[in-house]
Amino acid sequence: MGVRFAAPRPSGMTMNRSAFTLFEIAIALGLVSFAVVTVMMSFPAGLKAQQFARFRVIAATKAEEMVEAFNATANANPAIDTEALKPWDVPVSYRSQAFDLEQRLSSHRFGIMPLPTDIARRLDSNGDEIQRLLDDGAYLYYSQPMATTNTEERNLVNANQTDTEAPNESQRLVFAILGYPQNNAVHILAKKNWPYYVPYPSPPTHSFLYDEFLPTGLNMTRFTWDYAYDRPVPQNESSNISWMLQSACIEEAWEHAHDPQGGDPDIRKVFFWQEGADYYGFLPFMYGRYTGPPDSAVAYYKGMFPNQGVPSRASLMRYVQAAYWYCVRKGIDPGTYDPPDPSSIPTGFDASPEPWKQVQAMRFLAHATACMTSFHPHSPGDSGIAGDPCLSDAGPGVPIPPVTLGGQAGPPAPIGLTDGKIRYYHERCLRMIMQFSAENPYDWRVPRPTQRAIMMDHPLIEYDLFSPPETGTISGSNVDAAQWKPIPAQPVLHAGASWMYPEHEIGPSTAGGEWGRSSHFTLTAPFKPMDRCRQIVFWAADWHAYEDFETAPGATVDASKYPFAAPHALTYSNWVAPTGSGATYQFKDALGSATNPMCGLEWADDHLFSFRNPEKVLMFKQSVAGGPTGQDVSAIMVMNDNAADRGLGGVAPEVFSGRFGADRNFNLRLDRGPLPTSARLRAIEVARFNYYDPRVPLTIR
Amino acid sequence: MQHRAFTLIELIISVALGAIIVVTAFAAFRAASLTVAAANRLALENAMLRVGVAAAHDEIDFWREYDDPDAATAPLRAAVGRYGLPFTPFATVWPNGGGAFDTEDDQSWRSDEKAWDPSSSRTWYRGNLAERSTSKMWLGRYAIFSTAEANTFSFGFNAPVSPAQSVAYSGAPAAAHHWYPFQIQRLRDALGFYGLCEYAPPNSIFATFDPGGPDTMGRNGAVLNWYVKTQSGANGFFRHEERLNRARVPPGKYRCTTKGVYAIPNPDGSGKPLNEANRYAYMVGFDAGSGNANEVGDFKKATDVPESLLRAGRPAHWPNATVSVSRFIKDARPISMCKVRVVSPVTGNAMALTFSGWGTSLRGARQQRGRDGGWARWDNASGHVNTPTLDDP
Repeated sequence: MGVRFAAPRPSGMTMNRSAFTLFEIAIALGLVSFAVVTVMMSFPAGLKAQQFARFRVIAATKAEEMVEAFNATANANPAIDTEALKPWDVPVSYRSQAFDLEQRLSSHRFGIMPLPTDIARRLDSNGDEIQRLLDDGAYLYYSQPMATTNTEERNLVNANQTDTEAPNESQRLVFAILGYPQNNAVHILAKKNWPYYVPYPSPPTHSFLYDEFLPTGLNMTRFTWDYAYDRPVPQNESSNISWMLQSACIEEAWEHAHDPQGGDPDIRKVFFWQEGADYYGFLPFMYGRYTGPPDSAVAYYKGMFPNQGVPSRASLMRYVQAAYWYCVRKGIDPGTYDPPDPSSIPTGFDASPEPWKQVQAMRFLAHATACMTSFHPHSPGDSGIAGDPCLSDAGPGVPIPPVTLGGQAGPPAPIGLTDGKIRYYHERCLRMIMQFSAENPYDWRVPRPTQRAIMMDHPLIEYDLFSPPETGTISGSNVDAAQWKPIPAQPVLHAGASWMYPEHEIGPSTAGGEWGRSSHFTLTAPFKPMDRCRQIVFWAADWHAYEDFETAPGATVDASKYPFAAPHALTYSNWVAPTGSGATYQFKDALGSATNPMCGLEWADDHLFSFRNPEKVLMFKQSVAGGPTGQDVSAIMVMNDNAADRGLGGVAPEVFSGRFGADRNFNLRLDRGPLPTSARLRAIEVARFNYYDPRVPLTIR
Repeated sequence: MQHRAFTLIELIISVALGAIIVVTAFAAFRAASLTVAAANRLALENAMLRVGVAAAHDEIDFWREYDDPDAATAPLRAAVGRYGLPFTPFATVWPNGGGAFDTEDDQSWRSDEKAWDPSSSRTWYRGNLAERSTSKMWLGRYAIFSTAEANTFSFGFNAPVSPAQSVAYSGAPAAAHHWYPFQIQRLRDALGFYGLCEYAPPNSIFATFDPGGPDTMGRNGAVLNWYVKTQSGANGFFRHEERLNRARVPPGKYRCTTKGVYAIPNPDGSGKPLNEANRYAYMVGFDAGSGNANEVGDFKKATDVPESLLRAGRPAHWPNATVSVSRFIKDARPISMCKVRVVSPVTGNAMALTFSGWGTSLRGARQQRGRDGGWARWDNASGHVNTPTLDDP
């Protein structure tokens, strides 16, 4: 049936006109509909374009923030074990503190967390790039919605909602780092975390160690130790404080009685030495029994050197005598340790002896004599004691009698110590150490000055990837381990022993053994920009749509970043040294087994981040599988709980691993999306950003 | 000629077809209209977001919300005596004190980077780093080596415990070095804590020996004091290292900022006493314990500087965008935390983009500003005389 139109015909003509058929009309309508639909389909494209424009803005700001945070943030992780018996015993030098953007930023402190592996594996992308990255061992990351300021911003959204952030679409982005980490400079050498800093002037370096970590063959006595924050001056302490004589051994050990390249046994006399009934050196002066009249501070003293009357003039005098004795033993020019005109202070070193000997001699002498300013008056009559020796330059000064220690003579005659000489020693001490530090970055015989930390304190070291690694076993176990050997840019002189493990003597870097081959050193070699270029890639994926986006277990923890404690991190009660076991050190966890060295780690600081799951502040402490959607989870999150994710007890290992999921959208509620886990999502590439990946630690500050 | 009208069927079909076309077209146009409106709104929001990001970076670089050289008021330029605020001209609180460059008696602020050259012996800290703020000076009276003032003085304080040891050290022994403690103290006084953290080299020790004895800002010739502000604890002056680091020894920049957070005060805080308002060691816990939520909120209030993006006004149907930049130093890292917030006037929905950026330091910002007002102009053309900046005497 057709539709016919009756139209007037021209006069005299007869014409058959047929109208459109229904089929034709249908075709026409179809074409019109097609055109309309086509036009309509273009509308969402505009929306998508705008959405992607927004993602690009967010990605650009995030990428910039990441690179700036990486370059502008020094190591902000306090209280970590940096030294160990063997280079594999603590991971700081090669993983958790590696100068690599991912290693540094993937933490709750910088707001970049790995996307759960279960979810990451459901994302498709162009060329299947995401899956290929995961296959290569890379992580896919998501970020917190807040800015990264290194202040654990997760707590800006709190139960009281004192600051409720507007929704931030940055969480709909996921990103990854393309390109492999480089063989970066080693900025923490586990065998010896050089540089060591001490104030100048100062007494011989001292600290405390357990007997078991000290070199054998030394006459040591154990004293109980009550931990406190500061040790330099034993005052205002709580009761039952006493001091560990092992300190003397520490000094000997790393300042260099145990230096295979030549030790300095004389240093012991400056720190602690018994000569007949008298004790010489800094230790008995500073930490001995006080025998003066009653005073508020007296009650705090527990003597280890009876009848030495310390701190007092008498004990200080013996410290000063020992410092002069040391000058003589090191061959210091008498005109330097007893200057005829102290107002004239030369620059540089004397012609002899070796500069390090001059540095040490002036360091100890300047410190010991500075102490005299508190025990002897400057001017006659100040002390109210008739004939009391004073330090005024106008007089002969305070006489320092010569002393013989260990059968070796000190200065030949008494030295009159004056205020001018004290200043002379102080100034020469500073000038010498500043010059020595600036000129000898690879000579580790003397510590660096705390009051002037400079670039030259840090030698260039990298791992030798092309020589056989050092091998052995993890301390306290029979587990095999290996680590690349370090290569310094120049031979390290007098590496000596480490401060924390003085029993271990480090051989000279020119002799092979523990060190790599110098010909493999590359840090100072020329390079092209492309050699150090890596890329941050952002994709848009609505991963919050998954029903398990908060209940999925966290991504697999990178075990190489997470340490077991070096022995010193263990509390004393958790440390055992089994007799006859053949193992010098053994670790013991809270449960009494020696199988979990990680258990000895103390999360001494809430803000430790290198050792913990990057989702630490978000993670659930218990299963939420049966919990209703929308429930308040703030009470079951780890946040800053120091114990929930530590050790082998209870569910701690599962919490540490992120087994129970996390509050990944930062709203303190348990959320579930509408999408089943069986569905796959398409991740759309948003942007790529190249960044310069340096090999040497750099910090803008 | 025979005319036949449309049949009813034909008419119905025609009307139905027409109706389909009209409905389809209407739907299409409606969808188009909504989509275009949504796209336009998104585009507008995106544009506002981009402008906001740019404005935040601009603020990071130029610090206008803290000190606007174009504005009539400059609340952070006040001064009382030698105490100033972050944008107080040195000429006001730190006039040229004379002394040849690179000498111990140089009592001026020198912008030349050589002034703090680490090879110069005057830049070396000469205090006793083992000395605590409560020390009885068993390790010596280090003020004979270095004090803020070159004047003669006497040390009768904090003597050792025994009367026999409690000796005076009179005789006017003038210290040979005083440039370093002088610079540290004057930076603290002139700019406050944030300024000190930025101006002093990163390896500086924030302590001086001040023979003037106890006062609100110095204590017994030992280390510096700071006004510590907390929500949960008492506010007041504390020995900075005692409250923040527990170890009572002279700290440096990292130790000073690793636990507490230091903020330049909100310009609103300039009404407080100068010796307090600008010298906060702002302590926050950042954990979820009771009270700390308030600390965090209070900290944010203290550091947030809201800004209306479109100062000249905007059409009512445009999204409203605001930008704020909070500045503080954490773990020795200067942080500029930016927030761009866009609110739709149609839906009321808000979206925010927060990020931290790296921009001009306070020192750089001060050198952008003319000492006598306005923006400083700089040119290295021969013969050109550059505008004196806030750093110039």
